[in-house]
Amino acid sequence: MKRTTLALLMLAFLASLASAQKKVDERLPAETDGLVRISNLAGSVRVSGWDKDEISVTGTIASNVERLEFSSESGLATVKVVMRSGAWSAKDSEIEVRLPAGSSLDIETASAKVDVEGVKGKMRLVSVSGAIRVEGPLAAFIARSTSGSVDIAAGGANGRAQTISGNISIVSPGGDLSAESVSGNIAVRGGRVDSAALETTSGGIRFDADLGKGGRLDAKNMSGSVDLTLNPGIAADFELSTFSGKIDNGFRPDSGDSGGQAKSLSFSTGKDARVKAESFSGNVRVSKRD
Amino acid sequence: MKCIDAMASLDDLAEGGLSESRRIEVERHIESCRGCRAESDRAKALFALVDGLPRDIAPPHDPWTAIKGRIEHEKPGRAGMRGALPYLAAAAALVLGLSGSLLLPGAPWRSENGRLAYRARPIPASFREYPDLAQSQATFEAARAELYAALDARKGSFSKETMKVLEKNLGIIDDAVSEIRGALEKDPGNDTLSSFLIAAYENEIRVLSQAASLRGSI
Repeated sequence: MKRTTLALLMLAFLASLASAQKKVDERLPAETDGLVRISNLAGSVRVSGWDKDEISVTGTIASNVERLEFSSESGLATVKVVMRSGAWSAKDSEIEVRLPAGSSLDIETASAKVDVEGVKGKMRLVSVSGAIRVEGPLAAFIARSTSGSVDIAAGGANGRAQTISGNISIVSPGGDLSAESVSGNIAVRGGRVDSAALETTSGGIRFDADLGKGGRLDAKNMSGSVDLTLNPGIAADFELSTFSGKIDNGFRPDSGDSGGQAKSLSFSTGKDARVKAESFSGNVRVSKRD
Repeated sequence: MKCIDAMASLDDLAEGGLSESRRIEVERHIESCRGCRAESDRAKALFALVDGLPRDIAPPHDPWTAIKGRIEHEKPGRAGMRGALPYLAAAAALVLGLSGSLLLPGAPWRSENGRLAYRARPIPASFREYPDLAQSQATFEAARAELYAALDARKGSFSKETMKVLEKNLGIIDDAVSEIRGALEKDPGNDTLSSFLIAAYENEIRVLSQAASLRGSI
């Protein structure tokens, strides 16, 4: 009996060691507009900008992490959660990085979610299944996740978002924007873009923003719907088409059609911009903003 | 030179900050070391991102970006893809080159519906009267075959969840392609349908490229 109890106690002790997390709290000086690379497989990465010329890393790292690699030199800083060699699966490490607000970011994760606030530089954010969320203003972005969502309050920045199944939401973009998905929905709201290229296979596309002079909007999907809400005074050439869906034209209600096959509709309210919306089997709708 | 020494110089190499003798030394090592070459490509891509192009920030190491640009440039007309094959093949090679170690180890994946394996799509007889359409189809098929092979080499080490997402979404694209092809077989001269078919293929190539280049060194 004693031996059994002892064995159980030993097992419990070993289990507690295996699940133990280590706390981290480190700081290094950094340039105000440097590049910061962060990588963490699982858990979370929270990044926020501050007005100090140093980088602070806090949080907890998982028991099967070998070390936290943290360096900062000549404008390049690295924060990397390094897995122990041979670790079978990634356990959650939660890290919070505070860095100069003018920094640029390069973040990679597998399942860790990414949350960025108050960083003004350019950013490349890549995850496999983690959600990516950015609260601008920022200079420019590339955000890519396979199944995680991408949610960016761009504050006028241009950029590119790609997912396979994750939904994409971009608020207040500017400049040139592109968003692509397979089954994720794409939603763009607010802001003023020079060009927007939005494409999905089965997801829906919603665009409710302004186009600059000379702007181009291309929205295309296979089986989802395309729903564009535009400034009522927009002066643009419109091309709307669907193979087996319906077209609902809020700019020229009398020219809309329904039913039948292979419909296309072209009309113009002016020459300042160009709007093209296509769906193979989904519906296409353009409407004036209230 | 050892990898660890080369790695320490990759950022400087990307920025052009190495002395001539050091640059030659590092480049010589990169020539012969696939791992350092991949890291070097990544460093160069990253500095390109940070240094420039605020209005066009497509990542230089994204194979599909390069392919797409070339395809657009090469498009001779309706559904035309003549000349794109070398770029697609090069992209597939690039993807293979980028593939390093794998992402999340897990239990061996068993496909539930076989949508994650390459299945050729024969060119319908009715397409043959439209050489551009037939050519574009052949071009994409070659790229698909290579990219599926690249994916196949890696998929045993993706997480089960990632595999499910890929399988489901490649299935969605496959369904879309089938539907559009079905419509095109009846009406092969339809420009709108051709453009939908190309868009669906492009999306498939993008997904395959994205999947095959998922990095494992993080």
